[in-house]
Amino acid sequence: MQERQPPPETHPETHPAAADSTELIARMDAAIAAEDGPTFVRLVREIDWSQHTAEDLLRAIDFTIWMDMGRLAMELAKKGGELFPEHERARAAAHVLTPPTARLAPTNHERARSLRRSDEWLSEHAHAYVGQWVAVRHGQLLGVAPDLHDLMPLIGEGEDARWTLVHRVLG
Amino acid sequence: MARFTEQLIASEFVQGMTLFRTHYYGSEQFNQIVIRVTVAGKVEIRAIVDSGATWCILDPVTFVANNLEEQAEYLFDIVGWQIRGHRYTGRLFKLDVRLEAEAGTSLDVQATVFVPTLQPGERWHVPNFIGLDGFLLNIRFAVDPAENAFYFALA
Repeated sequence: MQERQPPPETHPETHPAAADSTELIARMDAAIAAEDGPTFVRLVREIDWSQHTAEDLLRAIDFTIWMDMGRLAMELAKKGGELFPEHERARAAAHVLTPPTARLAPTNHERARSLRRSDEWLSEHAHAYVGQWVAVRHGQLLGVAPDLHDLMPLIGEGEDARWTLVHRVLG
Repeated sequence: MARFTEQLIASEFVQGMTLFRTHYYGSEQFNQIVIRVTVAGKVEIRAIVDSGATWCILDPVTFVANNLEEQAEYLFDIVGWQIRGHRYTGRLFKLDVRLEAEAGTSLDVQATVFVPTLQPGERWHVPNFIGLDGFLLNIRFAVDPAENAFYFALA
C-alpha cells in the first residue's frame, strides 16, 4: 500500500505571481550591484510593484538617478506616488520627479536687455576674475568677491537682484 | 533682434526669444549655448542648455546665499548622481526657472533642479545647467546658431 503523500505546502497569502515577483526583485538588486543598466530596465518593467515595499521601489529610483535614466525615474516615481502615498520619501520622489510644466510669464524686455548688456560686460572682462564671484548690473561691474555671501549686501534683494547678473568665473 | 524673430513669433511656432552666448566664463575651451535664466524669481544666473543633461544643475553656493530652499515646494534626497565622472550626493528640488524673453513672452518652467551637497572644504567646479528631463522636456525650443538666438514656446 502506498504511503499517502502529504499535501504540498502552501502559503495561501502568497500568490505564485508574487513569489515570481520577489525573485525579480532579487535579480533587480543584482543588476543594481553590477550596474547592469539594460537588465535593470527590463526587470523593473516586469515587476508588479504593488506586491512590494516603497523601499524596493525607491532602490530602483535611486539607481535610475545614479545611471542618469531620467524618464524611467519619472515613470517609477509616479508609480510610487500612486502606490505609497503615505510614504514620505516615495511621495517626495513623485512630486520632484514629475515632468516639468511651463506657463507664460510676465515679461520685462527692458530688464532682459539690461541683463544682456551685463552679460556682454562679462564676456569682455570675466577673464580678469577667474575663481571670483562677479555681480554686474546695467552693464557695469557692481562687485567682485571670492565668496558670494560677501556680495549679497551689494546685490540686495527683490528688484535690485532681478537686474543683477551674478556669475562665478570657473577656474 | 535676431533675423527671424518676428516671423517665428507671428507664426506662433515660438513665443519668446533670448540671445545666447557661446561660452561659460571660465570654461572658454568649450562652445556651448549659455542663456540667462531667473531662478525662483530671485536670482539671475547663466546656465548651459544641455539636452544631454538629465536634470538642471545649480551651484550650491547660489542656492544657499539666496535662501532658495524656502522657494522650493518639494525636495528629494538622492543617493548619488554621476556628473563628469564624479559621484555627487545632493538633493533634487522643484523650482521655478524663468526664460526671460528679449522679444515675445517669457516662460516659467517648474523644473527639477539638482543641488549638490558638498563635503567640508569641497569646492564646486561645475557650471549651471538646463537639462532635458528636468526642464526642456515639455517646452518647444529652437536654436539659430547663426544669430545666437534661443527660441522657446509652450509645447
